[in-house]
Amino acid sequence: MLLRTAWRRAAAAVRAAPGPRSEAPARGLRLRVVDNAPQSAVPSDTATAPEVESVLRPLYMDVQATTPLDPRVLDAMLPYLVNYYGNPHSRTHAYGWESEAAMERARQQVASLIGADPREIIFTSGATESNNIAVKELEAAIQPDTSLVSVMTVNNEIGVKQPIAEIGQICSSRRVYFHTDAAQAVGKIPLDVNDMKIDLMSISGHKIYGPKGVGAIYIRRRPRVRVEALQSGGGQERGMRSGTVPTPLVVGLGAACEVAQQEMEYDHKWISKLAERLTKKIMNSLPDVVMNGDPEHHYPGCINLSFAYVEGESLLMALKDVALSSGSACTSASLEPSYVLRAIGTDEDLAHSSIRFGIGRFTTEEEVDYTVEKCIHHVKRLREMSPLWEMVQDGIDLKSIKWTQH
Amino acid sequence: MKVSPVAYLLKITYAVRRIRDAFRENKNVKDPVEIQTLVNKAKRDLEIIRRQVVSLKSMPAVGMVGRTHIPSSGTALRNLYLPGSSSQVHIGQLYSTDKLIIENQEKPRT
Repeated sequence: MLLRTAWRRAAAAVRAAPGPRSEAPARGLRLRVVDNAPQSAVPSDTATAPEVESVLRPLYMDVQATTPLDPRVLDAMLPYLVNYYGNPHSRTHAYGWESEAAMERARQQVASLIGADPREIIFTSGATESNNIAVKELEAAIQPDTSLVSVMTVNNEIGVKQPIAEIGQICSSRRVYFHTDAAQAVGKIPLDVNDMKIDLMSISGHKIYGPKGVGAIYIRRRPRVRVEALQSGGGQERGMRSGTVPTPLVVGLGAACEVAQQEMEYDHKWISKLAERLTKKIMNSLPDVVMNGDPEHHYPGCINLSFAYVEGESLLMALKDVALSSGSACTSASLEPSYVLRAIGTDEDLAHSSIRFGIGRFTTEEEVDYTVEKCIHHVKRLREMSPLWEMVQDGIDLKSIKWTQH
Repeated sequence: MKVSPVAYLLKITYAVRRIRDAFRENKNVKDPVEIQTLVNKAKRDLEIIRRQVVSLKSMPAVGMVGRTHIPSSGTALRNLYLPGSSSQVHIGQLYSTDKLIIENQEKPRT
């Protein structure tokens, strides 16, 4: 009781306090209204949305990991989360009919982004599920000489664009199925499944400013590509993926695809401009910085830089007020350097010092400038501390050193 | 004092920039039908912005690096988490309909 009154008094004091606060006394104050606590308990991670924010949130420069929802997408989804909550597979009432109509409209929006027919789009829970369906299809094939080529359209770590049209041409002439994981490419570069002769394509919602937990797989109808269902049940989605289609999520995916189609050119111009600004500024201010990936066939929004003589993880920790990553989120639990960098022949030490900068639709010039400034400052500071850097400055060739064992 | 969620600060900067550039791109359009189409689209987008601003105003604000710290009020947070809170009711009202209608093929909402 005493505690409660003390909290209330503290709360009143905080509300009365004007302007930005100074550190120590305010830190640790949590205005949890215990007496009115509802059954939907205040989530324990209120640390992320505290009433008194004593720690500022970092800038977001990790769009390859995930993207924020575009307001237009959220606006399209909200009615289906609040009011139009029917199951799209219910055939007997208006709730079902309106939900199904929304689902089909979303299907049309996704199809039109990639030049496909809506009947060729199956909704899944994400690009990973789509990839699994596509690869499992190999086992369902009847002919003995069938095989599958699976290529990523745009790499999520270094941003390199693969020559999809050429690969598609080769595959179709050899009658080999061609699957591409276009999670990072859909809505960012122009894709047409017929021009590029793609048979299977994976699409992810949360990489194109849509909701998380939804994706799609494009499965060509002419000539027919047979897939085996990973998930069996009520036969939804033409039997290829059973389970109730989540209407709010697919509406979000459809809206994200439609917005992406409209904004593709504009976004590309903006992102290219910011990417050039970032790379030029960093490379002009710091020596021994390598950009990983082919500079010509490159999606500008994903910049992977290796800072020699600086350890990547320590640079990430130093840049704690910018949200960055040093490799792909899906393999971030392991300590090994990125398999992609190893595959393109990067030296082991450079692979350990790579950072991925992600620039997206909502990134501002100020964010890029701030990131660049902090990056340059910390790289210089870390290099000052590095004995390897000292040796290089003295003119020693690191490759010629024979390291002794202790 | 205006309270705005920080995630929306980025969207606001984007919206301002996008709208300004869209006006510049289309400044030489002469065809009245095309102009009307563009104006209608702009009106729809404006409605989207209005709905989003109104329904998300009650979200607690957080500060972000490089921007001024905007403290939120305790009442705003309380409203968000109580069942039947004003923000939920608000969102429902903005996206509601009186009677159940079959989706128009053109647009989900007129």
